[in-house]
Amino acid sequence: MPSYGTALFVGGTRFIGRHTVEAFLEAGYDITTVTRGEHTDPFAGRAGVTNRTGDRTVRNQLEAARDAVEPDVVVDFVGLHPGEVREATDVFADARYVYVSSGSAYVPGDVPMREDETELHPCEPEQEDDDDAETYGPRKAECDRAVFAAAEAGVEAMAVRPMLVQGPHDYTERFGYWVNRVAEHDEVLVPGDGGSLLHRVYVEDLARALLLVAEEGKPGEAYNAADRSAYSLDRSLELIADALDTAVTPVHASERELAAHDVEPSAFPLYTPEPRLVSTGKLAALGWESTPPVEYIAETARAHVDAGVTGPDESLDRDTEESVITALRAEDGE
Amino acid sequence: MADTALVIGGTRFIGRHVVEDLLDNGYEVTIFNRGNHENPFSDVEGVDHVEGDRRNDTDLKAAALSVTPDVVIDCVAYYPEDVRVATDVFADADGYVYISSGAAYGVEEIPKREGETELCCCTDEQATDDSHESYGPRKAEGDRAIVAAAEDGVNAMSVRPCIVYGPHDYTERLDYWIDRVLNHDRVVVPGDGQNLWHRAYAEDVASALRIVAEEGEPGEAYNVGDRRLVTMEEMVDLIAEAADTDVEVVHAGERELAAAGLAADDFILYREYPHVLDTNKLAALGWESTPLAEAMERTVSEHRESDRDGGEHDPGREAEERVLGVLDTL
Repeated sequence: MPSYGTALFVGGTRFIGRHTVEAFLEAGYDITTVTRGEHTDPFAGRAGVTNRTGDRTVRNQLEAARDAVEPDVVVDFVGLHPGEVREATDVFADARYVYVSSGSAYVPGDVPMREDETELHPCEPEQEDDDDAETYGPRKAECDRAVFAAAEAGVEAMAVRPMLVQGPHDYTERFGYWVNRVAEHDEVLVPGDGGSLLHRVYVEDLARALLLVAEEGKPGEAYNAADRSAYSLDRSLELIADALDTAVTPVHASERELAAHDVEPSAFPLYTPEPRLVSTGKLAALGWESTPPVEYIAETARAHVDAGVTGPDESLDRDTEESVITALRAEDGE
Repeated sequence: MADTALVIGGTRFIGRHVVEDLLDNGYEVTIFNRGNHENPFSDVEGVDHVEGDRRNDTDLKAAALSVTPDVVIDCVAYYPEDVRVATDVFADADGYVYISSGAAYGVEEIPKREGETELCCCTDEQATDDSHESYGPRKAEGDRAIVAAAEDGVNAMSVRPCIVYGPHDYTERLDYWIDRVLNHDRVVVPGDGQNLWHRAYAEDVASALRIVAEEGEPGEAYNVGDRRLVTMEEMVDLIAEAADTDVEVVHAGERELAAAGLAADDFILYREYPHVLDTNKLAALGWESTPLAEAMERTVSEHRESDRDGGEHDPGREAEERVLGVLDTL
């Protein structure tokens, strides 16, 4: 295995970056994180990790960080606009550069989505600099193309496309919504027939994927990062219940039954109306393995309960959920 | 001299496609079966027929002696003992391929992967019974017999198909859905439409069997399924496109179905938990699958010429109409 000593992380000390720091520390790296300083640095005082304040959208601040750190490896957690990735691959042209992209870069539809077969979103020039959720996929796709272009110009640049990331410290609270429901209630409302399939990835496995691609990835290539084994929404609930040593009864509701209470299926975190699965063979071929869901869900569920996570603000409130469940139960004659 | 292939069983569905694929690839083919079904290749040059019962060892040995096949494709090994006998009888072939099944996997993982996902266990009682419940265990035990034969130096491999569809499919599972789409404007699909049960187009299963016979590693199993899966709703849409017609898919949840006395699994090809096979191992041998639209066009066009309607799987159009009627009023 090649060994590199110095890593620079652009952004990310909250969730993915936080776990990735641990993975790189364990592998013996000296790490510098470059952040705007808006969140508390969880590594303050830790040997081997230095934080620099800097704004990745200002080129000379990236250059200053590069000149101070002289990184062998750069991991870019916060490249949200193609211009930023073009800039970063130029500034860090002498390092191995890993861009954290997203499964959202794909035009959805293929099951499974494959790195070198499934189409990526096109991105219009006017979409490149905006911040709308609707253009997130197109922008991530264009960032990947910026990585490929840099690789053609000789930069050792790679992209990693994670699916829905889960684990402790997940500030999005999407998985936390379900943990909270299962922890607090016997019956939980689930859209559809419970078979909704959204591919997840455990944050620590993603961290190891980033390390592996940094060291062994092929320039110009993209790698999907998702659990080797996916599972349905209902199965998520069972796994959470097992972890918390409790039981749960999912109450399935069709789109019409939800609509009768003005509830959209999209009010449920992690629900997808069509399966979203990726092929993971390319990353596995580099030697990557993933933690069995039963193990990491146990750890994650307990961490979310301890942290008092309740779910995203925009998700379904429990009062509405209970009124739907009561109405459906009346129909069931229970 | 052309290579010779022996196809055990199969003049009905998968075997029929296997014979055609082998012919297209320059093999001289002999079919070995009891002759219970009409032989569609009786007048085709390059295809011989040897009559015999694969469960009768003497018959099988006689076929091996008369044909001395380079390649054997075994379409009808339903018991582990069948595989043990066949790998012994055909120990000298360049490739013996056993048609196993995705049902050999014993746990629900997504996707199911060769060498990683656990297989069914098989008790001695299960190994010899012929119930539907022991099908997976028997197929799994057959796979283990392949591994054992390979350890003894036999060039034996397994192929694990998921639900096979295509022309001449006597199971009529997809025919039910084709019939619905051809004859009705509105069709009930249980759940929210995203149910996933991996399917494999018959011609692609045939090419997989040949490619594994030629290129496969002894003792290995290879999943086969469409490289791209479609949900139940997308399957219905694909049928409509292939048939050049329109259909409205109506999702029905468990209560909406129950109101008409139906349950989701009354609908053929609905599976409670998604069944997905990883197909990368087979693809690495150079195998590809037919684009879905093309596969469906051939399937629908042959369906139109057949007298199959999937009637045996019909949950009852009257009950379905009741569901549709109620959902109309909402």
